[in-house]
Amino acid sequence: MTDDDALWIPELDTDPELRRMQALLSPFSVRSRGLTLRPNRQISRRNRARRVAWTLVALATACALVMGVGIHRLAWQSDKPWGIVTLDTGGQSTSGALAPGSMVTTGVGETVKLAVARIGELTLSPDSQLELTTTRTGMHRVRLDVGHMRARIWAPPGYFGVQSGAAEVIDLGCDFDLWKQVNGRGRVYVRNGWIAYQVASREVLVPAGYAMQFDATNFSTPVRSNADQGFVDAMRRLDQAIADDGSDSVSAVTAADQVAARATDNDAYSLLSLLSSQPRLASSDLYPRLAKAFSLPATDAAHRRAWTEGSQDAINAWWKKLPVQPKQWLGNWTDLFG
Amino acid sequence: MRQRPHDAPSDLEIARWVRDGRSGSQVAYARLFDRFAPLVHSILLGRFRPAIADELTQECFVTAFNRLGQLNDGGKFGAWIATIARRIRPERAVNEVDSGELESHPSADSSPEASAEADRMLRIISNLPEAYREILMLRLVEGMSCPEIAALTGLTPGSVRVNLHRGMRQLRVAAGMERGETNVEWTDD
Repeated sequence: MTDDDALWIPELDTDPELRRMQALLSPFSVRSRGLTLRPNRQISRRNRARRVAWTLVALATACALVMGVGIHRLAWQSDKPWGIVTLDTGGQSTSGALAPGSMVTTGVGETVKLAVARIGELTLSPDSQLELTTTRTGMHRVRLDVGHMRARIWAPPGYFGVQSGAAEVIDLGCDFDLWKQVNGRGRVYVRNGWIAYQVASREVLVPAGYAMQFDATNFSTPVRSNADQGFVDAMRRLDQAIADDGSDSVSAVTAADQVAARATDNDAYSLLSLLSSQPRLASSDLYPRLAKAFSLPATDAAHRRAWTEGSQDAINAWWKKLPVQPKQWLGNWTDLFG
Repeated sequence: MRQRPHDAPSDLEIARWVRDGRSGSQVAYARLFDRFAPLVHSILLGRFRPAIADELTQECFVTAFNRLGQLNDGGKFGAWIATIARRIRPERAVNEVDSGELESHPSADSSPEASAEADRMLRIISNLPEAYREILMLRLVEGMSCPEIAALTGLTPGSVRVNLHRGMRQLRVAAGMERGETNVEWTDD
């Protein structure tokens, strides 16, 4: 027996009987049966009958999707290059391939379109630079050094991500834009679905229609792209006060009250995101303002106290009030067959 | 020193996912599921019919994510959820692989003969000792290499190799592919 026998390394494929057994049994694998995690912000026990029914529906849907197009779309040989098309200013196109570790740079008026394995597409605008860092089934990563890119992805959460300095933009099944300057500052705008922006252990979820800004070490609270400028400015002042003095500071609480005063019901997600990452601010006017946006009574002192102390249960209870949940990522693939 | 395949996450990385999962991170949940679903599903496939194994795989992760706070060493998530998978029972009574009717067609394009043969192979593997069963499922069903199995299960590559070869030997004998010294009792329904 040596290291290179077919039993040890499946790719060797030198044992016909082994190959036959694999062919017989591989349809029972996790991937073939379309098993994916049901995304849910609050993992909780539910009524068993509902859970079984939901599982059957989810499995049937997932199987239909995966068996039809999913297996082919999601599977990708490790380190296989991506297809790339460069469009110059004259409208001429050049096709090629981008291997892991390779960089693509666009000049003035030049645009590049990349096939993200088989799970989506990425457009790189003029004067931008991007590196393909990792590509294999379930894990496709690029790094945007400078410029602008747009990614449209049809895959389960976490399959695609963009590294940006110490941060990572993780696709949760969506369509988003990312801008990055040489100094590390940048912006994310989500057109459809959700993304997660992660720096170290901190994470913020950004839904469709919302944008957030970031620099090398910090990021802002997501706000609607068409939010009132007064609200946006107040939110920026609050983010800065938290970064400078902490969420317990007088300056932060004062700024939080100003945010609450400028917020409308349409800004509910911004308030929810802010209070989730800075639960101590539930002692400010933000809590009753968010309650009003959700048409909830703000008189539950126990809930407010639990939130202020960082209770995940208290926070999750209000996340459920959102009309569009992160768990609905599959429904975000509205343009999958477009 | 045990070597990991180049793309296998380290215990430190897994511990970070667990930590993020405790605060409700979807990305962390997705990464833990992607990494450990083949292990959990393989364990369950050795005990239950495929449809039940699918359902219980989701159940194991729901249970694990609900109890992340009880896991002291996040880097041991794999061994921990494997234990959950080995202990989990479906609520309704099902005597799974032996008495239940397996899926008639594991995939849309499989012939009835291939499906019957696949069922038979699954039953044989399910009757092998646990040490062989889980590794064979990971190798033959999930298509993982031995180094990948070692990294996923926490076993040494040497143990995986020995168990895999012994398990394959028993499987081949039980399936009538070769004559061997080892007899595996297997009851076809």
